[in-house]
Amino acid sequence: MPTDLFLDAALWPYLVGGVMLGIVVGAVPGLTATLAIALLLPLTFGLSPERAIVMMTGIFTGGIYGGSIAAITLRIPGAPASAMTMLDGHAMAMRGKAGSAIALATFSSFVGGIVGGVVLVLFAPALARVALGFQSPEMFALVVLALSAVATVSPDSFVKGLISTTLGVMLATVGIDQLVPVPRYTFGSINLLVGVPLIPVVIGLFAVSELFHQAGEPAHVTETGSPIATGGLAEWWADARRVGWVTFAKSSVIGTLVGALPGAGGAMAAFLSYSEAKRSSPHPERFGTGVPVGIVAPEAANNAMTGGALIPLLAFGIPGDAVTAVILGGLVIHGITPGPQLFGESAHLLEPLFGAYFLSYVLILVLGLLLLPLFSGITRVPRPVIFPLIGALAVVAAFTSEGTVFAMYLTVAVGVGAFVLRRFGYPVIPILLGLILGPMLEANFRRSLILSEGDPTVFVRSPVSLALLLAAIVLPACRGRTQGSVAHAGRRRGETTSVVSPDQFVAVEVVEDPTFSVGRRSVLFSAADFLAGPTHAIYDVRSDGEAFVMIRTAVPPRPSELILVQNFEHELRTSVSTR
Amino acid sequence: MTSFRRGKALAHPDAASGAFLLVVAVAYGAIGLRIPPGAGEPGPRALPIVLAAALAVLSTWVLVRGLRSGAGTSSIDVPDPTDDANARRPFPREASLAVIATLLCVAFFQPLGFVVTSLAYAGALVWLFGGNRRMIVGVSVATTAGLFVFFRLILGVRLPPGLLG
Repeated sequence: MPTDLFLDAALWPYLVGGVMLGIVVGAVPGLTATLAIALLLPLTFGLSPERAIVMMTGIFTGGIYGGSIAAITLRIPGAPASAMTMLDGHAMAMRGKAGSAIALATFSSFVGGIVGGVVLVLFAPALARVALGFQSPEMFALVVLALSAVATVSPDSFVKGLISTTLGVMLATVGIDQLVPVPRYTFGSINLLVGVPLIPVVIGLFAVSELFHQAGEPAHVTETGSPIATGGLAEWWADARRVGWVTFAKSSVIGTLVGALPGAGGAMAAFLSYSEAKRSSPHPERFGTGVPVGIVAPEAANNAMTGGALIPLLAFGIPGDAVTAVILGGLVIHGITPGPQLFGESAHLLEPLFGAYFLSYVLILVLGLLLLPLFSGITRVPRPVIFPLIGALAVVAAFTSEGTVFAMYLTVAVGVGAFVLRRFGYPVIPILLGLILGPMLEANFRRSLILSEGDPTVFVRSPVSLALLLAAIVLPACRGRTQGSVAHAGRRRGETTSVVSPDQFVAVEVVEDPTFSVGRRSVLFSAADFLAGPTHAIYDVRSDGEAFVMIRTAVPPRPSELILVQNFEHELRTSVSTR
Repeated sequence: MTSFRRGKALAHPDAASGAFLLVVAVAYGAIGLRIPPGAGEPGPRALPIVLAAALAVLSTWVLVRGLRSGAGTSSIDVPDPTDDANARRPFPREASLAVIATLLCVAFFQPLGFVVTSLAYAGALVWLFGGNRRMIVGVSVATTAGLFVFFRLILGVRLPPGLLG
């Protein structure tokens, strides 16, 4: 348990640098915290483990926070986790209160981050002690649960999520076998004997594929035009007080819990928190029109998620999402193995990690409020500047990671593969999780069977293992239920999302994986007549996506009216495609 | 008004991707069968075989779904040739050019050296992303200088000197 959460002064420059870099990259539309860490990981190569941990923590928290800036000023979320913040944040900005909205987001991020950190510090060591008692079957079941969760939350299809996960585990089988000295899938290359190197794959999956993706996008889709003025800064504290501590606390707890679940991530945390705030609000109809609580709820949640997401990573060595998977890769490169042993033999590294986590949120609060106009200006960096920089940095970073041109070719190959998979609707995040968790999955699977002399019931004999495996099976079954509720904010179907703005129902082209970008918007019809009820949403999409229902308040003497749009999916696509 | 038509070649994108992944599964499984079984139970080829089988089943499911759904549910629209928004093409021209530029950068990274390839690559990307001549020069020089300072001078990484060596 760490006793000193104030860092050594020598570590401060790395923390400040990490937070600043994270905010800068996170604030650029389309660039996520995952991409920030993937690209900036090589910057930590020459650093000591303590400095590297501190810097990565700063990039992580800064990157998550930075996404909200573009969401508020440009209505383009810097990251998927900021999509909910966009609804009320941008509406508030349009009323000339962008400064207040960003300041409120900054303060909410601070509160959420601190709550997530407290839970992290309190629970991670306890869970690590539990994990110490895990045998191979339990560890195998835990990895299966994590992979199932990641595939389950894949946006387009569970099967495609599973395919991506399988591809990731297949990549993990390359190299000398862990238990028997036999090469597998090395094709005679000495570069592959120790397996597929992680960093080139990470850079390929997130940076290079994003470069190709953005190159193929028309400029208007991701253009970073002039942000609106950041006025109204003075009002944020009054807004925060009006929102009340209950919302801050509730959103932070939701974010932490969601973060601790494998695969859920910041977008889910923000969505659930926003939905809960709306559900419990006496004026749910005001959400989306620029209410402060619509900023507080998602921002507190997605920053609390960072603390929650570090819990399974540190306690079990299992990353819950892409960004923690990249952090895991970074830790491993520096010789740090997350998991129960981290709390034993490497316990001296926990102090800088926890200290950096808390101080990074203090820095976010201070820097966010002081440098608000500067960060807002980052969103104006033109595409011909930012993407060539990303491309050149990616190839040089790939070379630096292994010191070979082979690593560069691997990065490009993975980038092309990820780009093509994304075009066909396959998520790339599960590939990374599969690659990272594959060796753990195989080693524990084989060890279990060797110890049980081939008896497969070894995996269900322990109650923990049985429960984890059952959860892995039940999770995909819950997917339909989750998606049903997602429909309240925007039904996702491939790359098209429908959104209710305050007075219009709008179809929006959205690409969510691995980074968030928003395309053209088409107004489907006016939603002004459809008012939200106090306890329910005003519309929903049938689970098969074929029908869309909206309820309108009855206008006497006419009876209540039920509007049914048949073949909703087709109507939505047609509408988007023809504008 | 933008108009879209369904592209015949990619009328079933799920079918195309499913078929390709099925080939990958078969190839991966075939190579996996050649891995020595090794001592112990299960051996080093057990997981590859399981993964190949899993990918085969899943990709077949996607393939069949794609074939059944037909062109009506294609998730990739091929734009009309007269349409200016060619960005929705499955493989946009600019993306292909970016891939080629990146491959050329990697291929010439050692023979020509970091400085030359970085200048050329960054300049090509600026052009691809719509930058003007001044941006091409400014961004490529600034990017190359920044990367050199950081990786060579600060981190001490040996970058290939190539022509300048």
